[in-house]
Amino acid sequence: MKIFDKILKSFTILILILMYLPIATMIFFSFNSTKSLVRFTGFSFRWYSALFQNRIVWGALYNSITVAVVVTLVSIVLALLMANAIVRYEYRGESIIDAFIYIPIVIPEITESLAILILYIFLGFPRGFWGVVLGHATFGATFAVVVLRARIAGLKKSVEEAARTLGADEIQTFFRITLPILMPGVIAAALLVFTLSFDDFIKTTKRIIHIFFRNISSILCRTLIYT
Amino acid sequence: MEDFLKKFITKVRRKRRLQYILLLLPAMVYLTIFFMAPFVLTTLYSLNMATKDRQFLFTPSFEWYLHAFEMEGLLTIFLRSIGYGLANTLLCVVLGYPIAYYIAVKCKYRDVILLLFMVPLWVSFLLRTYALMGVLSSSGLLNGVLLGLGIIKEPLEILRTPTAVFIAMVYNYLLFMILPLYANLEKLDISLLEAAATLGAGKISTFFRVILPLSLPGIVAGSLLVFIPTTGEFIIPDLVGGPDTYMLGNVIWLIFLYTRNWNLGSAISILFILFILAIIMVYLKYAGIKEVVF
Amino acid sequence: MTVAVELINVSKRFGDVIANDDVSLTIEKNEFFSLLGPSGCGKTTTLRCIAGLEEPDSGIIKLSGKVVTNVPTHKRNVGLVFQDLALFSHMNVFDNIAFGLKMKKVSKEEIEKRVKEMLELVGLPGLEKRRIHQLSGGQRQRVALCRSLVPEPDVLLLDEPLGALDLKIRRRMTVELRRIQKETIKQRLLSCQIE
Repeated sequence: MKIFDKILKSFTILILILMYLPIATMIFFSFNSTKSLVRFTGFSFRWYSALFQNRIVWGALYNSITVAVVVTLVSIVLALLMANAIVRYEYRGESIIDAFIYIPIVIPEITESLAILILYIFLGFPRGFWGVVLGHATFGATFAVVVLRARIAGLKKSVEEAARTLGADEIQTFFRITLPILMPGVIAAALLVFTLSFDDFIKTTKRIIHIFFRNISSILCRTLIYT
Repeated sequence: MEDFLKKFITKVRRKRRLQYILLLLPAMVYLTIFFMAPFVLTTLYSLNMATKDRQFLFTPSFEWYLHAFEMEGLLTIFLRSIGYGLANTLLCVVLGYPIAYYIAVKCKYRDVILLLFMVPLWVSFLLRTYALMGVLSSSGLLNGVLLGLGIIKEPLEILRTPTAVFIAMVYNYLLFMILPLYANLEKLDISLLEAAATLGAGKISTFFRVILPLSLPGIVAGSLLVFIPTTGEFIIPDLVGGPDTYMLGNVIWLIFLYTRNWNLGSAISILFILFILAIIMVYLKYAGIKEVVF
Repeated sequence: MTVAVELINVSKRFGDVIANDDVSLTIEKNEFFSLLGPSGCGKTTTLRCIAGLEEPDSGIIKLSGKVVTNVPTHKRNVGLVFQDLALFSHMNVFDNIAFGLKMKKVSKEEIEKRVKEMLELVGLPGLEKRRIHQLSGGQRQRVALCRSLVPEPDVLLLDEPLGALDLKIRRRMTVELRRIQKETIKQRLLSCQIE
């Protein structure tokens, strides 16, 4: 069925190209000397120099990165604890725990963010850096658990037991044996959480008054202004 | 103190249940505060709670729900959101399945192609949507190409129509359909297909009787990952659509942040969540899946 | 102290299944002791109890005369070669074997010396840098054995050590095991189970 395969291949490549087109055009026009997204008038670094000089942008970038890093750390730690608990121990109340894990993913982002916003205002919780981090980490931890769960389930118990017979206590076993073996999964989860947090702007706009985020500013520098 | 610690550690070592609780505790506490509590609050607000200077007056009533039902146009928007969500999901399945199949089964450079598909994801949602706007505008790339090839005589006004919304949605969410499908198809045992062939099944039969049923968990996972965020979308309708395409997300946003009516907003949010949960449960039951594993 | 391992009325059940029912046995020092029996009769459970990986429901376990009920596995100084070998796939041969010594905080030079000696002893000289997945079944078996032997445990347990090997190699390994036992410097006790 060679023809069929060829069709599939072409289709995939076509879609791939279509996906990159908008981005490519954007990059193309970011070198445009005027504000237009549609007519190319001349080559210029104008927008990039404006970008680099803009303090707000740097501030926003810094914020986004720091938030994302902290969120990733918190999420991974929470997720490791939680995933280990769920996979290795069988106890009643599993369905409730499952609900806790899956529902944050299932709920649309705005409702969730608004709900957290309500909580913050209710408690008088400050809505700055930590407000965002803790909110993101809720989402992030649950995503990470989903990713890590399968990997932990595939871990052979005997390897950890071997380490214990060789004199490693629980903590040493975890850091020298368990974690290195889980590392690919941890990295995948970390990348996912980082991307989600970095890219997110719904939660950030709602809870930040004085912190911008990179995305808005980037657009500002490409061509148009979005508020 | 040290003695106590030693005794504690011995106890923990011996009791599995204690270990379980200790491991789970931090995450549970965290989730309770940041996940349960907000929703409890939202529910309370939807049932007519009000706060004034840190004191709350709670006179439970369903008035806000009634208000929501009586709201003009809310039903339309509600249905529209669900409709868009379903349509988008369907589109993503139709478009994404062949791609996932190709990558999982026939492709030699899987990792590369997967990575290529994921890179746009890092470009950030807003930027992607914005770029799409540029392409779809009346003097944008799409029209340029179509006009140039003589396929159309006048530029198509795609922006501010539902079509634009659909295109933007598929564009942003296709990957969420491809990934779970790919994960599922990748685990497919080729020998099953071969077995089917030896039992006399042609290509089409094999597909519908063997591959499709086996890839059902992937389709379900992908659909959920696409349907839910899509129904709650509000950025896309705002950017590429127009007031005609406004969805539930927009409504909730407006009510909360502009009219500051938390009670009403909460009521609508809760209705929304309940509806989605109901759809998911029906869907899962219909597909016969008890557990969703990515 | 001539008794190395003592089990007194040890019982262990898993749910409805009784794995060990009132087991008592005594193993002398330097004894090569084998537990024989059909599969599913509880041999692995006994080994795991001695190692501390399972806690018996009742009964007492003594190692070198001391009761070890409250002693966690990593403090028992018991070596265990697992049925599926359980080698650390993210480490090379050297690090696998050196692991027990690292836990005992032995010096680097000493570790190097002992690992090299052990590899020579089992007939795998020079394979320190190899990764686990590059080894054959017989080689992995021997690495697992080295790993458990090198920290000089008081008791060495082998869980179906020859199961994964084919007949020829199996016969050879049996002879090897005896040889290793005789040649190891510290007197040690082997408790092994053969199907």
